[in-house]
Amino acid sequence: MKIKFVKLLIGCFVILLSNSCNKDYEFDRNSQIPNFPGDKWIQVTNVAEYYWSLEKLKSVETFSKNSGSECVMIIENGKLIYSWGENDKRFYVASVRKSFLSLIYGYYVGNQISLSATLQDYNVGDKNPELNDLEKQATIRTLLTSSSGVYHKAAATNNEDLPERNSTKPGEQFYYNNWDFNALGTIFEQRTGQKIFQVFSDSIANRIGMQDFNWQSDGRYDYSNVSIHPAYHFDMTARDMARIGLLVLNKGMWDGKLIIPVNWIDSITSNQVSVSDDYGGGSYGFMWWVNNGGYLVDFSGVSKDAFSAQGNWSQIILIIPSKNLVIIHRATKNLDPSRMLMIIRMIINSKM
Amino acid sequence: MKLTIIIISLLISIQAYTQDSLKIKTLGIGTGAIYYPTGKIVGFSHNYFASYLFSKHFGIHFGLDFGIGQKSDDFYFDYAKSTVMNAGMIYIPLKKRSQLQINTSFMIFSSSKIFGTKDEIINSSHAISEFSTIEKSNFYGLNLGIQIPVYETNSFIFSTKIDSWASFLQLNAVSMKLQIQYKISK
Repeated sequence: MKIKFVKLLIGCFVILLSNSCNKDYEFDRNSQIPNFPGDKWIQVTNVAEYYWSLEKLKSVETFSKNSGSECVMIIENGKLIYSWGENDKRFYVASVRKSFLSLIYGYYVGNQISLSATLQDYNVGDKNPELNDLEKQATIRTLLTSSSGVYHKAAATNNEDLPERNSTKPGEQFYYNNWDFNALGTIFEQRTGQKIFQVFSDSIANRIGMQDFNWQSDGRYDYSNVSIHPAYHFDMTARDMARIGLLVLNKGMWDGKLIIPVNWIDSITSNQVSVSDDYGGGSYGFMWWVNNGGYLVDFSGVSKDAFSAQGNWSQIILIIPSKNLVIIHRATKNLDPSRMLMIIRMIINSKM
Repeated sequence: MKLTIIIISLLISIQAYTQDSLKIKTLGIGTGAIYYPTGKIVGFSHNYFASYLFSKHFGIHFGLDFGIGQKSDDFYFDYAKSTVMNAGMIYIPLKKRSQLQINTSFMIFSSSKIFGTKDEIINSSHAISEFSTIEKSNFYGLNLGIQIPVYETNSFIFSTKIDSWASFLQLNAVSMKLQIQYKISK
């Protein structure tokens, strides 16, 4: 009995020691009461109270502005710790739109939409040329993981360097494919009978108090003569985007309300398919970059559990659950990836 | 066929311009400021060049340009260095002002960039932390410049020169210098 007690004591000591040696800060999210912004975000007045270094944050701000950032928001446990740039300015949301569509798929998967249904099952094709038999075997799951193997020209992309048709089977290989993303938009609207932007507005934006989003003016389709599936573009402010990040960080919960099914958030932000180094390595969930992956920036060394939505012009929603952190970044050009990574690392390093 | 006509027309035009031969050869040096858009770094620049005006409207030039700049605060530093080799054409828009020149050149741009957070000073002027990034690259591109004469004597030309260096539609650096040139032959 006495020996067991001594072993227990030594065990506790070792655990305490190992924790005190860990330089990376980590939150025990279960012990934190999550905060959510009300009508608007309120930046904390004294960052030191939250164990952040104001000097270091100012230093990141300078470096970031010099590198080309337009706006950055740092949200920890639902509180706006620090930000710079115009977070109330609307901008064209590039590929982050795909991650938004992924969120609203969660309401219909298992009902009107089946992950195992094929394009043939849902009678989805295209024009000039029509899809072939192999391509029609691509499932909704392979579209969500951008591995359908349908290498057809698509809207809102230059269609350069497309692999040869039928060069891979559905589900065989990840390829960042706008055809997949756009077709998912068409399928969503056909299966649900509703508009993407309206569902996004009614089911998410209005319920989490997005300040600026108006689905009638901030959503539009980009049609093309090379494909029947349009791209679905959003305009959004950084402060509204930050609310999306906080919602996903809290696994679809917002101030006690379930906005998106928890298991769907787990599915879209967990490893579904491996990504080659050409796209930054890591993995892809359902239209979210996971395991430090990302076609713009790979967040290697940032945090093992980091995942993100990424779009052109360095638009990033970075979520780090172990640090209870959401970082929003946007610019009017693509930042050098190493500078982008440096900004994120400097932000994390600003925590005392 | 079209290409042949264009080339012949161009050669005839150049021939027309070259009838009033100038044959001014100069050697020059300059010094001034350089700006690197990536990092918004302002630094020091100096150049060494030779030019040969073979007509009242055209000439050739060869030059070497060096630049260096650094920006830092207590927690980060951002450093840029460039060496550029230019070789190209000079165009003189006004016959009577032969030293007002526009030059366009092929360039080889060699660049070094270091940026990162500062840790404790260890052995160097700025310590490099695990967050630091060092990038060295060489690439080809286009140099565009304009030279504006300020004062001219029989043997010397004092001028201002503004240059830009771009590659793949990306501006890598801009500089503004004061130059002095010595006329070897005139």
